[in-house]
Amino acid sequence: MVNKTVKALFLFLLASSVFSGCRPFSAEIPDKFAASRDRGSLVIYSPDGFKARIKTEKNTPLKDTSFWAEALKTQLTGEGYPLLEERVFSSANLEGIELTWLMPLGNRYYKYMTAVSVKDKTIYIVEAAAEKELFDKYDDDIKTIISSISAR
Amino acid sequence: MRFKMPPIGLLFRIFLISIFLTAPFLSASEIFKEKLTFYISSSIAVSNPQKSGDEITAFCESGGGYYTRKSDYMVSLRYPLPYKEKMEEIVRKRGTVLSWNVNTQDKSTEYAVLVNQLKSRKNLLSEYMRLIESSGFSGTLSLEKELINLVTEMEQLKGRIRKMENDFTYIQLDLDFVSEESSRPEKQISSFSWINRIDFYDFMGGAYNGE
Repeated sequence: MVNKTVKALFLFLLASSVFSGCRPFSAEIPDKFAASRDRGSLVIYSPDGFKARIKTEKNTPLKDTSFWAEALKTQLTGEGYPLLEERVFSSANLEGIELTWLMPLGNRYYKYMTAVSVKDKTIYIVEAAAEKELFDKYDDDIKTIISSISAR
Repeated sequence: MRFKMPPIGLLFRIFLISIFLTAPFLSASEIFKEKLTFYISSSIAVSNPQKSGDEITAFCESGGGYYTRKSDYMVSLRYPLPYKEKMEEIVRKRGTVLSWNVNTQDKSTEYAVLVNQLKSRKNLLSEYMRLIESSGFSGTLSLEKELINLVTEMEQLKGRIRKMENDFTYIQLDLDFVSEESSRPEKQISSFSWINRIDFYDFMGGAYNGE
C-alpha cells in the first residue's frame, strides 16, 4: 500500500516537472483571465469572449523574425485577411512583429492579432482575438501579456 | 550676543514651505471649467476602404487636423473640436456605420493640478535664482543639484500639460474600414506548414480543454 502511494507520488512529481518544463516560454497572465495548457501552448480566456494563445514552432528553415512575419503577412493578405495595423513589439527577451486583422464572423467584426518572434531554433507565435470593442477593452492586458513573454 | 546663521538646510525648508503657502493656485471656478477629451472608435462598411480612408483623411487635414496612423483598412485621426459634428456627418455619408463609440473624459481637475504644480515650481525657481545671487560659493553648489531637479521636473510638467491641451483641442478618432463586398477569406496553402495552421476561424472555434 505504502509502495503504491510512493510510486503514485513519484509519477505525479515526474509528470508535473516534465509538463511544466516542456513549454519553452513563460508568461505572466493577469488574474482576470483563465489559462489552460494545450500541447505545449498556453491558451488564455476572458469570461466575456476574449481569447489568446501563445505557442512555438520549429524555426525550420532557420530564418529571422522579419522573414517569418513577411511570410505570414503575404499568406494572410493573399487569403483576403484585411490588415489593420503592423507594429513592432518587444517582450522580456524577444522582439517581434505584430499584425492585427479585422475579420468578419457572423454579423460582427473581430480583431485578430498575430505576433511572430524568432529566437534561435524556435518561432514564438501569439494569437489573440475578440469582437472589436472587446479587443480594444483588453488592449492594455494584451500588451502586458506580450511584454511578459520570456523565451527559456 | 552674536547672531548665529541657521544651517542652510533649515533655511531651505522654511523657504519651501513659504513658497508652497504663497503660490498662486487656480481658483475654484477655473478648476471646474470643463476640460474634456473625446475618443471615438468606429467601424464603417464601405465599397472601397482605401478611397474612403483617403477622402476622410483629406477632409480632416483641410480642417486643421492630422492622422497619426494609416493603413488600407484603418486610419487614426486627430481633428479640432469644432469639427465634431461635421466629421461624424462625413464619415456616416461614406458608408454604413457598424459602430460609433464615444468616450468622453473630464480632465479638469487633473489639468488644474498640473498647472498649479508648474506655477509653484516656477515661483520656486525664481526664489532659487535670488538665493543663488545672494549666497556664497558653497551655497551655490548645494543649490545647483536642487535647481537641476527642479528644471527637469518643470519640463516634465510642461510636457504633460502640452499633451493634455492637445487632447482638449483635438478629438481622436480611430476608424476601421470594412469592405462591403468582403466575404470570409479563402484558405490557401502556404509552403510553410506552421503558417497553414494560423487561421482565425480555427482559432475562434477551439474550446477550453479543461486542463
